[in-house]
Amino acid sequence: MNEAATDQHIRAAYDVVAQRRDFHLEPRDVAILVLMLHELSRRSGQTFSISAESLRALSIKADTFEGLPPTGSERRFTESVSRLLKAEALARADMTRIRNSDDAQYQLTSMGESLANWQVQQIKFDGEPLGAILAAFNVQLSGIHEAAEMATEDKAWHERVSLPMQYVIRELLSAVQRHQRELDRQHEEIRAFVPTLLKESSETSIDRCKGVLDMVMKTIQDLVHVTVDVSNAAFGLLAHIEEVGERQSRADTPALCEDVRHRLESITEWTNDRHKAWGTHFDTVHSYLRFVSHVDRTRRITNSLKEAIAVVPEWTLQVVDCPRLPILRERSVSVGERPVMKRARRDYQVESESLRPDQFPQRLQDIINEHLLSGAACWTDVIGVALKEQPQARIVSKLPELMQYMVSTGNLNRESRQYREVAPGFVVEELEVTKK
Amino acid sequence: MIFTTPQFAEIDTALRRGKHISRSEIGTYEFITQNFDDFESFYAAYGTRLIQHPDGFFFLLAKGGLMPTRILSRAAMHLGMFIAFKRRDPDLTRSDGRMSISGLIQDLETSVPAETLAKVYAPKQKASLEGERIHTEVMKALKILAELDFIETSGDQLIANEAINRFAELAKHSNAPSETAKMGLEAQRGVVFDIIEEEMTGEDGDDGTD
Repeated sequence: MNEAATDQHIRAAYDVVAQRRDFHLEPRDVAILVLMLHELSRRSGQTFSISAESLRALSIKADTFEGLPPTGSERRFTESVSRLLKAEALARADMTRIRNSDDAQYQLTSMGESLANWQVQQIKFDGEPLGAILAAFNVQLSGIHEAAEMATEDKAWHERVSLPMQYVIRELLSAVQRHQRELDRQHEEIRAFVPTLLKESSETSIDRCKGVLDMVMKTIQDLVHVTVDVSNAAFGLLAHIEEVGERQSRADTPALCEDVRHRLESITEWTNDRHKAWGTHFDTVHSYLRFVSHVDRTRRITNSLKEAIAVVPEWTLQVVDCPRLPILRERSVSVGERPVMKRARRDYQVESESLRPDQFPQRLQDIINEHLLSGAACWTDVIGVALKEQPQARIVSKLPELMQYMVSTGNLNRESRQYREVAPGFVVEELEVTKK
Repeated sequence: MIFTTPQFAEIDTALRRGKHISRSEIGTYEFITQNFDDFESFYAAYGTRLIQHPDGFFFLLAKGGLMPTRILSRAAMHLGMFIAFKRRDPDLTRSDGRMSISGLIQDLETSVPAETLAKVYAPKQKASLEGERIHTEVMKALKILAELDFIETSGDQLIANEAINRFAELAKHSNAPSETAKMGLEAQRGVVFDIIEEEMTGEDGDDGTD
């Protein structure tokens, strides 16, 4: 770069900062630029500018993309034009600077045109980058093949065969996969876009729809051819490299070749899958065009169907019906013979076991009664007797019943409430009742 | 001589079951197209006609001939019309024409008046049991439509074939065909206007197929 050019670049950079030029644009502004570019290319002749009125219509169209209501469209239009002029993507074409802005003419600047073209380029659906990468892949692979033939030393083999196989080719194949994902994304966008064209149902929209579909199919068909050609050649080269590796007893070659082969196979599989999937989409849309768009452009039949499903159908269709074959049973039941009744079985033995009721509560009551006969019954005495006959846990479980019985059969002595130990670690508060 | 070929036997069996043969079955479709005259003369002996619908698909039309016929139940007719209507939605192209059956039933319940749904799918049902009955009848009708190749089902998905356009025959006449048009529809498209109520309601639970 010469000095004059360097000066220019530095001055331009300085100028951008000094003038605070930020080229701020909203998405709708860029959409207006694209629509304007389309409008200008659509017009016959050498028109390079459009009127404010036409630009306003494009702004309203951008509003519909954003789903915005008509209210406020004028404000949005004015703001967009203002931003576009400030960013120098748009320029006034009327040299006289007419005061009334409604009579103004606008043209795209070179930056505005480039911006619009770049956006159009972004959604262009083609497999060229993918084809180019695949072609580059084969060039690389044939280079490695030649290097493999020439390499005799370990170092040369490592640097010119193993490393490129590991990194360069893997990188290339990763790039292919990235482009595949991008094509998938773009195709999804086309799938979403096609219904909007079909809904318009005009001759132009149908033609555009066909154009989009044809482009998609051409792309995938080209890709299928490229992929088949490239993969066939690549498989051949890989086989040669593997053969050379084996001849020279290179241990890592089979694994490297297998890895590349595996990636190639997945690329081929993707192409075949998409060929099928995009083909199905192509057929579906064409079927729609054939049976709905061309036949029912005014949607009269569709509307009639909508009305018909709201009421009970009063007509039907007749179809051919094959005669039914009777299924013969192995054993026919003769007339008058009653089917055997199924009865409940009675031939089982009933086993019963009698369980004695729990005697312990009664025993506790007896102990209380014995003590009461002597004038008074103490809670701790009763427990003490019971502990000699039953385990502690069983007695504890019966204590509420015991207390209830004592309170109901005798008079409570409120003075006797000291704590007593009836067994080691088993301390209870005394409860004494006297005979009623 | 096509009549001794396995392909003919296969197609003949399918047609006699009331099936429709659309372009999606490309091999079968081509065989019929190439031998249409032979097929036509063969079925003429039964008093039956092999019809190629303007939309391309083939089906047998038997009126007063040797072959038995049946008519579609009210539920199958209504559902057929509903699917034919749904198929005309451009958004369906996004899913390659596939509709989910659960979504279809939901749409049916929201797009069709409840009174019509009850009359078509659950005519003699208590109001409290209508919902369940409607679901059962829709599933039954779907099975019939699939058996006749109006649709293809796979799990919860269905795809309508070209033959589903038979359900739009009246809509092509704005649902009110003239007397002449009616005669044409009866003679050429297998449309039936004078219906015996019992056959139409499909009360035997088998769409009146027996």
